[in-house]
Amino acid sequence: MSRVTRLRSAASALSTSSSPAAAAAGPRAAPATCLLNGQASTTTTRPQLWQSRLQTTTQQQQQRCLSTSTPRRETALSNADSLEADFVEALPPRRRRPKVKTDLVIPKGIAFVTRVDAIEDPSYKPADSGSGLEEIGGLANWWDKPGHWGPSKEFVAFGPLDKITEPAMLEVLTKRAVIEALVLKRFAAQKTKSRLAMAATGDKEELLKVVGVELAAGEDGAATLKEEAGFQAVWDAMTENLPKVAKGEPLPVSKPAEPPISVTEAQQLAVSWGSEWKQASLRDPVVKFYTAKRIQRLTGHIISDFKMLGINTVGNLLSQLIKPPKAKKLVEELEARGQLGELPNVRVYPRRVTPVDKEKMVGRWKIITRELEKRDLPVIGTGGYKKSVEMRWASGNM
Amino acid sequence: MAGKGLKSLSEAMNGLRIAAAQPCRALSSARPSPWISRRSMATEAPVANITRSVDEPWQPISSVPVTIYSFPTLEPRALESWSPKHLHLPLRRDILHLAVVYEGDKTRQGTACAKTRWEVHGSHRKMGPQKGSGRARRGSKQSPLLRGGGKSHGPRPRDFSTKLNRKVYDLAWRTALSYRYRRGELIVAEDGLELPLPDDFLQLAELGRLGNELEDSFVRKYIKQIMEGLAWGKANGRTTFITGDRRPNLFTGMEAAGEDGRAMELEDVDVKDLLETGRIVIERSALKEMIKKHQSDLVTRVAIKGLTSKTPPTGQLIAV
Repeated sequence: MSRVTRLRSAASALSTSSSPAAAAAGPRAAPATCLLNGQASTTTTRPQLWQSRLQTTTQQQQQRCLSTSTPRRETALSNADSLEADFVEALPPRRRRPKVKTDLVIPKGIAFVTRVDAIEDPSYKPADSGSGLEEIGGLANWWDKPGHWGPSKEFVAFGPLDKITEPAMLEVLTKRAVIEALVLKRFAAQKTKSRLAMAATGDKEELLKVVGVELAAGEDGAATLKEEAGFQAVWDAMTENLPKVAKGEPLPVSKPAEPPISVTEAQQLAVSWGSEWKQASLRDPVVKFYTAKRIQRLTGHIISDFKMLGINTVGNLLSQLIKPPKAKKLVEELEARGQLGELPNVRVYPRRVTPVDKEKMVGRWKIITRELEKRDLPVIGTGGYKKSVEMRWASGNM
Repeated sequence: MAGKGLKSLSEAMNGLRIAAAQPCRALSSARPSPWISRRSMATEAPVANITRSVDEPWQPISSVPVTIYSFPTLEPRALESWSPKHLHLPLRRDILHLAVVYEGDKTRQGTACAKTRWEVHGSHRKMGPQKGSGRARRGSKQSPLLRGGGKSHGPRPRDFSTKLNRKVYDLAWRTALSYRYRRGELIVAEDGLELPLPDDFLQLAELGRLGNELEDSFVRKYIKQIMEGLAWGKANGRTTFITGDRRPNLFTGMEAAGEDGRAMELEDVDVKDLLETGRIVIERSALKEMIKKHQSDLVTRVAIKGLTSKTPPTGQLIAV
């Protein structure tokens, strides 16, 4: 651990007692030394600034130095008492501390440890080395310890962090995204509402309402809603349960919800639609943008701009999202078909039959292992032994 | 003139003569091949159907879309249209290589210096008699042949930089950006790209309740969460953030979480940096500035009737 350096940087009070020679030399009046839990680390000082966006410009211009970032006093190691006094003085007085509302757990106070020379137990014997000693304190992995990291600090992205991969679910959500994108383009003039609608996830009722509208290719082949009334119906469904946000305020970042329908429901829906709607073309860059945005919000898939450029139909978009199932192995295929299994002279193995497998089949492997171990020879592999040198000489390959 | 005409005529006649001598020359090459090579091969690939119909003539892409994301939620905020001459250039590895070598040469320090015999300290007295000792003749002890002597033909401080045409170098910049764009590794963020740290942490840090180690480890963990959530971290090849100027939280934070990426100011970036990590996250204005600085091959100073050819525009807003 970095106890020595940490203490040297904070007040260098303990560094004297950490080295036996110095501990013996230094005058010591105080009966106890203190370990500051909070003050930690580094020998070098650095200009570190964490800035908040909410600050005013004057505050931003003013370079803020943290108390921990200010250059620490370098004092001689020999005078431990004055150092300790300095150290205690350096602590901010407790009463004046303003309260900060936080869900982070931060280390508290000072833990006191009896000094080596003040220990009265005659059986106490100082350790010669640090190996095997229990470590106390230290701030390594502080935030990884259970309960220390606040739940509000979890990262929330625009889309779900675990992407949806179920093909039927992707099909349902893609249809929803395309329909909503077409509607959003139509109602783009209502800026606040459409911004909120783009970030909404909606419930099951809304999903079924939106997806129930028929999507088809228009006269020019471009994707559109089959009936004109569908636009208004979908817009109403989308804007029904929107949260209220004042104009100009930033949107609240909410965690994307799970899809409101189950996989079986999605499969039934996908089968009922057929595949005609997938032929509709998607060429309008604005519709594609809204589609990509809705897909990101609903499924977590981020489609890159260049891929979006190449996507021209709804089917293309789906094939971009749905990962084809992994190809079956030959064994699995043969098993599924029930071929070769009945033939008496054919056996199918899931992997290569190795020489060891062959020995095991005739029951010789145990004996070979035993004999090899008896002679202290490697059971598998060459164990670093090479071919005989004489063989090399005989072959003329020097 | 007449002589030349006659010469060419005689050449033409010669050609005819050869043609006459071997009238079936073209046919002879079409002699049936041996039977064994004519059978169809098991691994024969079918002829690719790459022929285009004349009805749909090939149209080059006139613009490419660029989504502007917010950071760190990665919400798509706007769609812009960019010129393919900026972000959709074909990959030219040779040009990228030239640029990287050029930058490498330019950044060589070139300060290696060995002392010659004239710079080595000491007396220049002759070390022994010229003749009669039975040993080699030795002038002074600084001789390069002796231990402790000077170095003959040793390194001297010099400038290693090489030259590259500006238009080629600028093309390399945009080729690198295009390469990233095509691979989906160019993420354009909104202006003011900065790491938003939680308010309570900022207050605690300001009050000095945490200390350097806790502050650093907090920010490291906070960034790690973001990077893992977005699949941008160490496991995914790290990420380079490029901003116009130094952003305190982002830069100090990326120093603390260096294994997941790095943050650079626009003026520190070169072509090699654009090619290095798993992806580039660049501020919109920084990308504009970068392309504006590196389009000398697209800008002309030649004016015809007072008009110059237009430089392609950078980033036109399509949708919000």
